Amino acid sequence: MDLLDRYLGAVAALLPAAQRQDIVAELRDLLESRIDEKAAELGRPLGKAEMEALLNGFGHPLAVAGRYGPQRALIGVELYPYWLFALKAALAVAAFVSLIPALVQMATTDWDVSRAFSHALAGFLPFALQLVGVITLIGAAVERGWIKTGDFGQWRVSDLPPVRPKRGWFPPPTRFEALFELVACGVFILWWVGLVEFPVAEMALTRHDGVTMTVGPIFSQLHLPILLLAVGQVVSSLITVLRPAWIAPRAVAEIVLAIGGLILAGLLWRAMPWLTFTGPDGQTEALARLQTWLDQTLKVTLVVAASVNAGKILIEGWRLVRAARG
Amino acid sequence: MAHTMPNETDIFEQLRQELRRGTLILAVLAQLRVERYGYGLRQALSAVGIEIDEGALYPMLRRLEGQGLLASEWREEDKRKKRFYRLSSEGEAVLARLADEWRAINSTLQPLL
Repeated sequence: MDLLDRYLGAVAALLPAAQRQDIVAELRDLLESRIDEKAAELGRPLGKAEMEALLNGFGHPLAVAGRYGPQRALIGVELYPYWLFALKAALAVAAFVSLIPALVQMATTDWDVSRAFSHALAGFLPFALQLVGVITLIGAAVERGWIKTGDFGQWRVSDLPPVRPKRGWFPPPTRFEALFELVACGVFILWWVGLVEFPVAEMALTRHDGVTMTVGPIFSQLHLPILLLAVGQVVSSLITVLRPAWIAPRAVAEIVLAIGGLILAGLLWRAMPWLTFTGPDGQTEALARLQTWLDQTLKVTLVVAASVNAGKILIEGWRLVRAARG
Repeated sequence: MAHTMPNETDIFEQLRQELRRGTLILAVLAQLRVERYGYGLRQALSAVGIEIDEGALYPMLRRLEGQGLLASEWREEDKRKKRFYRLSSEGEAVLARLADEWRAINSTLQPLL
């Protein structure tokens, strides 16, 4: 009976303490009955190999103990589509935040494609795994009722976005785009308030050849306004994700955010240059060229950002008027 | 990555298992109008042509007991301690309702098949 004891011991170790003794006693009776039945068939006691085969056929201790668990699915079939959707959105964000810094490095330094790709991959994998872990933990907690979803699961057909035959010139964002925006802003906020750190930030500030990039005080001064704008964007994206039919509230939020974005662009323009480079004496000329190039690029970026915000005010204003007319 | 299409036998087996899953509980409850221990129950089911995996049977018995449909007690029989199960009064009421439901489904489906 040594094999049987070992088998039951392995099962017992995986069972909840409160039920362990009871379940193991019952399994022992079942297996002993089986052994007796088999021995009666053979007309002799079971050999070691036959006993091994019988226990093997009953199932791995992990599987046997697992069947007594209260819940067997980490993410159930009801929750699975939501979990998968969140996972896809999060992986897209992870790919985005890993790829952009690598592309910037490729454009501004001597990095070639393979180096940029391996850097992007090295950034993507741990970040993606963390996101998958967090989303799965949240999903498992929702599945078990530890996190209450309130009326999130309640929905009305009239809240769904209206069907349009064509996505015109300025289509409102889809739910997926809004969810992507939501996750991206969420990640940005976590980074902005210092709750998560990306290797990117460190890489951008100090380089291996002694060149240092200094960020101007303007970002400390504008820390709260930028945070508020990001939070505002989260609210606006949430409206589209949860209530895509709320065109007017989303338009109002977008107009307020665009005005904030315009003011921010103006303040950043006045505070130029807000990124400066210092380094060894031999590199002064090269750094001056880099500084000029960066300032020009940032100015163009600010003009583009301001134009986009101005355009947003017009488009969202038009959307607001159209929604008011019904 | 190409997905392998399940063949007809796989699909049939999967559907057959889905079809059987609910009926097994009905069969177990019906067999436990008489007191039986787990292994004896499996043999009784097997004798009427219902094969059930023991790995699924024992957790099912515990779940049904937890739901108040079965009552159990440990007793010694053939010099071995065994856990005997039988229908509780609540279990009898639920079995009667499930049996009615089964007959109704059967009579509805029969003309369609």
